[in-house]
Amino acid sequence: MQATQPTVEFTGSSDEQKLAKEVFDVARFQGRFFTANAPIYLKREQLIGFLAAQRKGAAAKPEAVAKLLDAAMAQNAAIFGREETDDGVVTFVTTQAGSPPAQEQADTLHTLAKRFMEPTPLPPAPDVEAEQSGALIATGWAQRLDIAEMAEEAEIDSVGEDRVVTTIATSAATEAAAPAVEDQAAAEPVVSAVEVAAVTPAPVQQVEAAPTVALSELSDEQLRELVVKQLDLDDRFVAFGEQYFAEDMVDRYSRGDLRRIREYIAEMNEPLSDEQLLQSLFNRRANDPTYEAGLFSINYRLSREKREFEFVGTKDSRLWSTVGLAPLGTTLRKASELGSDYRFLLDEEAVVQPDPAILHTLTFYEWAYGLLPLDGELRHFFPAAYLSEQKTATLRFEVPQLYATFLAELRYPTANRGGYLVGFDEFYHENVVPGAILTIERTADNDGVFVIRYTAQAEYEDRLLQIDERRSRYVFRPQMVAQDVDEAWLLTETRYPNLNNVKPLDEKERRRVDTVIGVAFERVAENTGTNAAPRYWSTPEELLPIVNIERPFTLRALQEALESPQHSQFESDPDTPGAFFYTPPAKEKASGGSKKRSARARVDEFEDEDEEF
Amino acid sequence: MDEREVEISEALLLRLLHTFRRGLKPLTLDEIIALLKNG
Repeated sequence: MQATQPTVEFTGSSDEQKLAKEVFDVARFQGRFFTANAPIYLKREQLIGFLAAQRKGAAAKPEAVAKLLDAAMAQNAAIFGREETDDGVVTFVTTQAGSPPAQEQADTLHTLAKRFMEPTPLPPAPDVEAEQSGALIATGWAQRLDIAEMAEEAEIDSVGEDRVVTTIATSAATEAAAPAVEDQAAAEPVVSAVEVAAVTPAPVQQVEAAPTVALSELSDEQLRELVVKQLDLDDRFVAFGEQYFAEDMVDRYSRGDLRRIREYIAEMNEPLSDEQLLQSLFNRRANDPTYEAGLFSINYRLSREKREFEFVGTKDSRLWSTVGLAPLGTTLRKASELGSDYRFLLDEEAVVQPDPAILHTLTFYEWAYGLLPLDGELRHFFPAAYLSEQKTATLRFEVPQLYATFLAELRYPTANRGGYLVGFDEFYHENVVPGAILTIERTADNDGVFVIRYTAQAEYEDRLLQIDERRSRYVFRPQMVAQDVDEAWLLTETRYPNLNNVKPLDEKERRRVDTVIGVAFERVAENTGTNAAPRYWSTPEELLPIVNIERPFTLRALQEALESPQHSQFESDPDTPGAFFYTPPAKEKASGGSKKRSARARVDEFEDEDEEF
Repeated sequence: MDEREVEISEALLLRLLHTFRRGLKPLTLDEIIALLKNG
């Protein structure tokens, strides 16, 4: 380390040199860890005290030391700097290198503040005129071809030069005319020119038919069709529902991203919205300028993964389901069976529902399986499928009276199955009875959320029809009625005692509309005949709640079935308009004790029960 | 017009793409039609 230190030459008398060296050694010792150019400060008073302590005799007197020190420092000003404060404190300063420290100049050539305040001027704009002057496409090619003008020119030219005319005629696809013209031109040039001129207007008209049409000339419907058709064919545009976007601006999702989405939906165990996925999984915030593009992207990408994801949302609530998610709704009947039961709804005339709320009376069938039919009234009340290939939509129902919310699945009608909503089982069974009048309301800002209410009434207990699953029988059980009900649809024991212990129809019987209606007659209608030759009498209004125990019917469907010439067992009552007679078919009557449906009179059913027990 | 084959010009399609890039968000069919009509 010593070897690297520079040698310092001191000046002055020998005493002064010696003292200067002594002081410099002290300075070096004090600043032994300093850099070569770092200032080492030594106070004069302290130095005098130190040096006096090192000496003996007269030389140890501070005055003598002070005098010698000042002289030595003055002689070696090249090594020691001298600083003096206002109050007279003198300090000597040197460095490891043996020179007074140089005054440091702050480098202000480049400072952040300066760069912010005085940005680099932009490069000069390119010479636009100069660039434009060098046309890349010849003017003749860049301009739109004016066929009409060319044709006129051709007509003019044709008088003097028939060859030009012939060429245009050929190019305008008048193949039949052109060869003839050429032949004639060879023989009689003057005449041919006139003839060709007569031929040319036809191709001119053909070309003129194609060009631009002002968009204002098209109706909204035509324009809509045109846009959909053209954007669908154009690779630069992509669509999700009624939204369109530029393909290159759609976010990409990796296989890993898609797996995360799938796992998240499976973990939450219910369909999730695009917003929930984007915010929870991909940390996108709603105030992000590209948030809407992000929503479109995730919807578009998931819609392309048909094997793994299924869109079950609506326009405002875009929900996604994935494979393996537990199905919503009843497990007592299959979706296909429910769809077949509601098949008659396909013939129902749809009523446009402008009202934000609708009343619906719950039938036994709907109550038992937790359903709502997509009948004429409700078909337009609930949102239509947002995507053309969409089969189901998951809707959220809020019950403000219970502070509860639940999901229901809307299954859209297909060619041979009616539409319905499923998933109300728990709500129905815990809160309402068959016959309850429900109010279903749309919500203002979301077509995927609905509010369901019922009018609460003074609570009373009644024995109402239920299915005993274990015994597979209809039974009356006490149930609390606490809401507004339509009495005609309330299946109480006092009103329909015959329904007690009745066995539900088996699947084969249920499929036959006439059997279901016939059984309803047998169960509740008045027998105007004899026990041996029964003839039941009733009206569709009375029968409707009863047939709805086995399978859904509307009044229209029931009336149609009763009036149908195919079902001769039903005949209208000539004395009472709207009423019908039912005569059980003769062959079934003959089968007395067999298992056929006509044997399902109440007495027989009790016998069945006896046999079972 | 009814019988004729009409199509949206490339210039309008490019303008639509530009609108997407500038707006950073998708457009509904109604919005696109309004844009096309208003030029």
